[in-house]
Amino acid sequence: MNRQQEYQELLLELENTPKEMSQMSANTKIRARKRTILRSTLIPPGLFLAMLCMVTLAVNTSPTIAYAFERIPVLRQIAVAVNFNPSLTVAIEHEFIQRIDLAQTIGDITMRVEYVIVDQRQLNIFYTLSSPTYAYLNSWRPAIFCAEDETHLPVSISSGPHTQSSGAIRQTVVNFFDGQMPDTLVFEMLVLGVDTAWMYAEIPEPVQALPQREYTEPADLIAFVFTLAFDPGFTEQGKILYLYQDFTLADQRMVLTSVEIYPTHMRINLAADPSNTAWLRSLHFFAENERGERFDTISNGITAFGAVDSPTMASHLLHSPFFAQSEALTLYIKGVEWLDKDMQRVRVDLANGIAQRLPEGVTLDEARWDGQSWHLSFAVIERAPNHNHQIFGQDFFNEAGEAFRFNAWSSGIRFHSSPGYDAPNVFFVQFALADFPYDIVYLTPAYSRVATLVAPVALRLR
Amino acid sequence: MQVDAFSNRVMAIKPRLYRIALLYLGNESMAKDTVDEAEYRAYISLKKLRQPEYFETWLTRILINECKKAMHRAKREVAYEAIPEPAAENFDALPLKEAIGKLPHELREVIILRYFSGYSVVETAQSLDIPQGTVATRQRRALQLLRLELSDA
Repeated sequence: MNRQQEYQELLLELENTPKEMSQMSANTKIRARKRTILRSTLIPPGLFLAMLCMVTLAVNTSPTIAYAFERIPVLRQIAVAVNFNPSLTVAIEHEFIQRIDLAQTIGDITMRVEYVIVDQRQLNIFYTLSSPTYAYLNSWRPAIFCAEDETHLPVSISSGPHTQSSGAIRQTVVNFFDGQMPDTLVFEMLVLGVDTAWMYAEIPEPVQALPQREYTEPADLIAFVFTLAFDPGFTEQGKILYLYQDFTLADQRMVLTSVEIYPTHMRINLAADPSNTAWLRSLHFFAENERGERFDTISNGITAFGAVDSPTMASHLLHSPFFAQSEALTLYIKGVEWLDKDMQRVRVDLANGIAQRLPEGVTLDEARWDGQSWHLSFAVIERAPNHNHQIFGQDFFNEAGEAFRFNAWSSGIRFHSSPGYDAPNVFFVQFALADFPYDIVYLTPAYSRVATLVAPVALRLR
Repeated sequence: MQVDAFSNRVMAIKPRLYRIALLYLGNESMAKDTVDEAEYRAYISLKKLRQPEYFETWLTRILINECKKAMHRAKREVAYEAIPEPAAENFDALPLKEAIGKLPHELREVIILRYFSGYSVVETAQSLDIPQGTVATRQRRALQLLRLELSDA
């Protein structure tokens, strides 16, 4: 057989193709489908990795993007900082928080106002102080001014701990007594880097009851001043329910005039009957909606505002039902603290250690003369375990009615412990009447008595 | 090209693809697998085929590549000395089918396409992505080695 014959035979042989070689393989579509499924599950991780690379690149090349990502932990820190405050926690959950993002650097200290939670009556400013030099920084005397004329606004300001570590989130709370939150205001904070050497210094002996010292302003305080502009979408939030409900609270007559509900808090406004024999000082109360959700009193911060013309605390603060969508809301008053009108000043015979009349649960522990000042110690029965309360205002008077003021006091353990005063559930309030040469003093009690109601007073708010 | 059209066109040329693979690889089982693999590769790459009129030469090129891969895998699996490159003078002593299988792959693929699959010089050039002149040169050389006299038609 020659090559030509071989060729022809080979062509014939090749004509005999297997049957499966005359149709499309079933496996082709099956394999293609599997591949599609596999790719659909593998592509997202691939995309994720690609996005991660892009984000990493962007963060490392763009300061703006880097700062935007830096804010995520800032928000997380704020959420942690307000964890004790249900109203602010819920506000953040509802994205009721405005980014401010203003920063100033003076010397080697940078103050950055990060966010605010603001409504008609309350402003929460979240800011940081940082420094490459100081591990800790003090923030002092926050102040709020009108943006137009730089006058003080009628506000009550409270801040967190003065000394905090560099970079920590700090919070200043500004409560407005009256009027609407302005669109802009000026926020001032004095700042001081902390020399930590004192932390490691030996504590001087003996420990005395807080000596009355003259306050001297640190020379190197830095004033940071920011103009804050608010989104009206936040500052418009809030509503007032006018009620004018008369009710009897223990042995006194009161009027529930209105309730103000804001995202950050709720205010219960009360008026006292002029014939009452006592001023209302504080309430033990809570509100509850139709679903049993409870809104308690503010536990850390401003709890009430006083009246202008009397010692009455007229406006009492609760956590907010603003975001709870409550159809019904009821106030339950379980206890009340009064200051009897005839007990606005109490006489204490310092020389003989005799107090004519003291607030309920308070006894004079000691009145000690050191040759220049009187050192007073009062034993106070706790209202709750490890819970101290204020017993006197800072103003005091001599027999002639001349006014004095102490600016420091301690509340807790007794400085000079003695066997008679280690009783449980008692704490000591100690302060000095500096350079007070008289034997008689008139102190100003913060309250005179406390009434716990057997049956809570229930007031329908809506 | 839609899936149905793909299926129809594959069915039309699949016997020819099998012949190419069988001659190239010399093994029926390998040939079937390689044709199926080429068909699968073409199916998942269908969107890349911009000119449907070149479907056949496009698929043939895929098949040739798959055949090369199969040969490469086979060489890895079998000791190299088991498949010695024959000396040129030995081709005429071998049966034609075996001699084709022993040709260098550049010549083998040309001869298979031109004389066992019915491809023209142009189609062969398109399938192998080589100039037509190269096709002509390689086919002449392959025919010489095989001692086979076939027309260019």
